[in-house]
Amino acid sequence: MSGNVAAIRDLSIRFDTQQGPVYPLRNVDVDVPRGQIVGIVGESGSGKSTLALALMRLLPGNAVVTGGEVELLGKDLLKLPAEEMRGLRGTRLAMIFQDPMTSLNPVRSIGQQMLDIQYRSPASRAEKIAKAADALKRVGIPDAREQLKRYPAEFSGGMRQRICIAMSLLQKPELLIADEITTALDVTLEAQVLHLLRELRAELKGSILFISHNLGAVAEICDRVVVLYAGEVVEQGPVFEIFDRPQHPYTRALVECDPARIETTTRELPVIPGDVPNLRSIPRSCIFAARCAEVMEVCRRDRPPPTVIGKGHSARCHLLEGVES
Amino acid sequence: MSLLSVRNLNVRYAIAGPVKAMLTGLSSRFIDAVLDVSFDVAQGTTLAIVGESGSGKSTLARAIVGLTPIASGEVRFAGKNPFADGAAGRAYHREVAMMFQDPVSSLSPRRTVQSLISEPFIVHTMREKDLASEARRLLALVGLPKDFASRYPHQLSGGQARRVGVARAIALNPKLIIADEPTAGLDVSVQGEILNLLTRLQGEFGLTYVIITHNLAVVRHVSDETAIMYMGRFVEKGRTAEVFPDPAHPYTQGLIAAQPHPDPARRRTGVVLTGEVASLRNRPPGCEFHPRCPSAQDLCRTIAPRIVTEFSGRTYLCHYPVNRPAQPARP
Amino acid sequence: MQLSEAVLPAAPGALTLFRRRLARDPLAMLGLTLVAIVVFCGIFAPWIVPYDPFKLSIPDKLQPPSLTHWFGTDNLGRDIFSRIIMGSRIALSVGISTIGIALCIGISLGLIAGYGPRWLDNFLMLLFDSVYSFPTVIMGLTVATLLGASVTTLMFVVILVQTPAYARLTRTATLSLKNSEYVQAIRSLGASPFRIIAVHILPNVVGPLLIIASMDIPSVVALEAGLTYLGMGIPPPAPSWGRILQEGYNLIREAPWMVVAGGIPLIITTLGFTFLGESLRDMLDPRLRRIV
Repeated sequence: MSGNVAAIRDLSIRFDTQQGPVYPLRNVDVDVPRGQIVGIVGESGSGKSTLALALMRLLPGNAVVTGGEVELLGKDLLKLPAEEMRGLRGTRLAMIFQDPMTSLNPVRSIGQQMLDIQYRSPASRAEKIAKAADALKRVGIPDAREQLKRYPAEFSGGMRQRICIAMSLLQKPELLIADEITTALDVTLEAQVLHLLRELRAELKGSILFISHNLGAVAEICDRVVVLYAGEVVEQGPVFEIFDRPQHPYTRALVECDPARIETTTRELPVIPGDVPNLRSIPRSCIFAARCAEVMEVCRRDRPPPTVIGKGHSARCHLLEGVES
Repeated sequence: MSLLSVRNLNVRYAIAGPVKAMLTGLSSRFIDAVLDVSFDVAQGTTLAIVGESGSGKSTLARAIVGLTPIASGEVRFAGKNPFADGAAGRAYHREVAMMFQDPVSSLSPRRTVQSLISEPFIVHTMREKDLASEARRLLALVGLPKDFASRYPHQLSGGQARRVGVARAIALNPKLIIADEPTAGLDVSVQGEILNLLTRLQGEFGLTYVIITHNLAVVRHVSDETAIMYMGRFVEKGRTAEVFPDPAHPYTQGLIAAQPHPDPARRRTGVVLTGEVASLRNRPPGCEFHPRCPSAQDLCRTIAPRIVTEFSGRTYLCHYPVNRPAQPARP
Repeated sequence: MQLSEAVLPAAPGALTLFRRRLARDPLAMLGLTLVAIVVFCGIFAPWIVPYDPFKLSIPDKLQPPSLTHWFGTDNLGRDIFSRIIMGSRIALSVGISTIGIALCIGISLGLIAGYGPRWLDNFLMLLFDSVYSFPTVIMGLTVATLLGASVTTLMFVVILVQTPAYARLTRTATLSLKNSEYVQAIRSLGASPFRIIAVHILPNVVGPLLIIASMDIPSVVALEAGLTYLGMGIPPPAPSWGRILQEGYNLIREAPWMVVAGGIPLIITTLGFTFLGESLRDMLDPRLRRIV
């Protein structure tokens, strides 16, 4: 087995909608090394949530995997029987969602739900309760035992997200998928949750796939970053490489137009002109060609293959061909 | 001269009817969403009001445009009270426009873009206007192609819906625009487009903005003045260029520090602001920020600070401001 | 999955869509056909009936269905097929017109309750709930006893019973729309309450109500049948479907076809309006039109 918890190779997905097929992910390669936090960055429509759902095998019924392979925890995910897949979810594989209110059952108390997820454990009820209270304590929720009796609606958004993290602590998954978990939170709470994730990292022992559109949050906690644009991985590499030496024009533009990155005050903020391409008909060109400031003749003709630029750093751009290391 | 002037504004919500309050023994059946807020906005400038959710910033915006009744205090627009009588109110609605938080859901789902952006003309019975050509003019102003006129809100992307919202706000040539989270829910690359559009329109029409947001990164670039709101009060207010490098209130300092930097070299090691906003039903005694304040002392737990005004015009509510001498409590 | 919507064509008008939708949706087409049959019978009943539905002919009584009498004859020798066609008039006037009136009153009151001041809302809700809490049949029997059984009485009962149901639904929808961002946005433009209600709330409320109402039409016809069966509906010799069912029930051993014949038009009406109502709801919503 490789040192990867998950290895996605050349994955392509199609959605069959009533208006015809849509191609949300095309030829995606992503590795999640053991023990690392991998950030998936992309704007809306980039396919980052589809990728998460594909890993959980929770894609909607109209989704078709048209090609590629996914190796997850040493198993061939796409060929895994449904029964075995259910066995993986919640034990070795877990997911936290953007809105913790929708992932917690509103009519069951936190304690009941934290017992529910331990149903496979042979421990006694009292031990399970103790473990649940301990998990809550570790995510910074005071009076843990008392809180177990309360219901999701009695907690604030930040608290609910902590509870979801506490639940994932109980499961100790080898891969935790966190889909936009700080998006609905205020900055101060976001900072707290990010800090918590970083602190718990050793304890979780597994890898985290951190999906976000917030570059600041990704820079804060990730080891590796995968940049998705309109369903394709345009660049991926170690976090310092991506933020300090972005090679793909899209990554560069994305990093540059984050107002938090711009030190001097400016009234004219940088933008990426143009619109995200329509994913119903995929051009044969580079997917970013229509918006790229450095577009060349060849970009409009052929789609560039991934070029390796450094150790674990690659990008899909014609500009980089020939600079291969 | 200030275009909008707000003095000692209070907004309260009833959380229970009088009977229920009596039966359950509530000490007060109201919660104060906005408390003693005063500010001025000069013509052609931008004021940003920043706060976490529950700080009362959206309520303040609604109170200014008259969507939420004011409990006490005063709003003056161009020197006049806009809520004095019906005629003044109608004129006020022409001169002040509000942009709402959610770009898509603030648009009526069953109407086309054209009917949405010509709504202000119909509401203000300006029927002599050629609505179709006005709609084309407004779409051009916000940078949308004219065939968007026949689309429905669900057919727009977040950025496009936001532009339609801007078009509707500027339809009647208002003097003041109140924008509630103008960049919420938008991708970073689109955020810039919308902010640049607002800046361009400000230059073209001399607009005045009040921007309500939780995004400090944006505030720094677009506003002349910044006010920080906490539990319904302005805890600090001053020129943006001065507040950011030198915050006076520990809360402002904490908010600035909580912003994540898109730079892995600048990772933070600790968390400056812990805890969450206290319940508005149960305001802490003394300074309301003291449960979360890293520099809180005994004085803060008992006595509420008064507004301190610095020479530069900076105001803040704190006994022990950052990098400044302590403000002893006066009797 | 959010996509760039940049290439979506502009939505065509409602009428074009109505036609296109009908052409593509077999269920809507079936619904429309069934409703059309009932409406046609109701309007042209006196001219299309093969026999006089009131003419007694004792020698021909209780004949089973045959080529001369498609649905057979009843215990007084009247042609049941003719009586059913004639009965569609009553069914339609009781069904469509009362539901229509109840819908108009219900929506108006519901909008007032939902958008108006709190005290008015409380008062109206109390009123709706007290009317609504009466069992329909008991209410029907009471009113019929007080006013005497007639078509007008029946219509009055149906309006009384249905109005609070529609008003309540309208009120709930109005309350949530009143606090929605787009209504707030329009209020901030200074629009009058009347305009907000008529232009921005009503169209969003009316869709789901239309489908509920169209599904209520057959149940009102069934209610008419029920009350008539209890002897509190339309007095004889009027040929209502309910009366045919009632008479058939009494003679179920001798002439089982009477009950079957009375049930068929009820089924046709129910299916027709339900199918039509469902596709009507989809067509009224621009967000669902894309599916066409």
